[in-house]
Amino acid sequence: MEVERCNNTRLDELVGGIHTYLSMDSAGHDVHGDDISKDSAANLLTRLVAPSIISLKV
Amino acid sequence: MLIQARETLVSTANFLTFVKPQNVEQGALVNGSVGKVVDFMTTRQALERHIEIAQLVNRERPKTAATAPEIPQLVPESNLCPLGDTVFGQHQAWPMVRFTNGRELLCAPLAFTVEGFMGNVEARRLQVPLILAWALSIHKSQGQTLSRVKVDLSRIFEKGQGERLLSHSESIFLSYVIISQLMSRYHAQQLWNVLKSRTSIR
Repeated sequence: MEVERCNNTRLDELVGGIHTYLSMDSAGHDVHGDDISKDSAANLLTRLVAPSIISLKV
Repeated sequence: MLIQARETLVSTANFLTFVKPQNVEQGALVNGSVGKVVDFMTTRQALERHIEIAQLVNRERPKTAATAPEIPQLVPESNLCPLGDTVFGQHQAWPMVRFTNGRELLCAPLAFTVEGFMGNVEARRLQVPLILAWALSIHKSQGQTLSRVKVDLSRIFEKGQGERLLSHSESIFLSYVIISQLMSRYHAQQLWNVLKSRTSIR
């Protein structure tokens, strides 16, 4: 994806040490209180603006 | 399609995005606040240096404004089922961000949730509340407060996509707009007029 490539190129240019963070994800419950499957939960999480992995540098 | 923050602001900047603005004091930081990662440190080091820490507010135990800063609560809620093996540690270093308003914040993970109409948590992600933002898609820029942007509409393909930029901000400062060659002259002129009337574009 264009945006991602642009951001990663700029990140690569930075010289600081890289810190990578993996998200801590969990599945919850639907409106009836039933468990939401891991697959459905993973799918729902793709809607979020917060990524499952983020790498940062100073 | 890219929305690009202006060069001068973001030469080494990372972008912060808070999906839950109620987690932070009013008016201080919003979705889209721009900053730069200046250091990495643990919450303890941040406390020692009196640096503010992004707090993970737990539903069951809301944090009152009067309490002293604590180490953020990183334990998963017991009624949620973990999807992976990731567990954040107390000794982990988090990015310390200096925002363009001068404010410094240790960006420890915050909770991002997908909720059902009954307010039930369907899925939850704990993650450092930052995204890289040298470039942003127009889709992700919606709802964000951006003070300076460069907009590349060179691959715009649908009437209305350019105007959407302004749906949430009337005072956006656009330093560059690259108009699509594919756009009809009529539409390009219309878009330009809208941008001109509602922004400080020249």
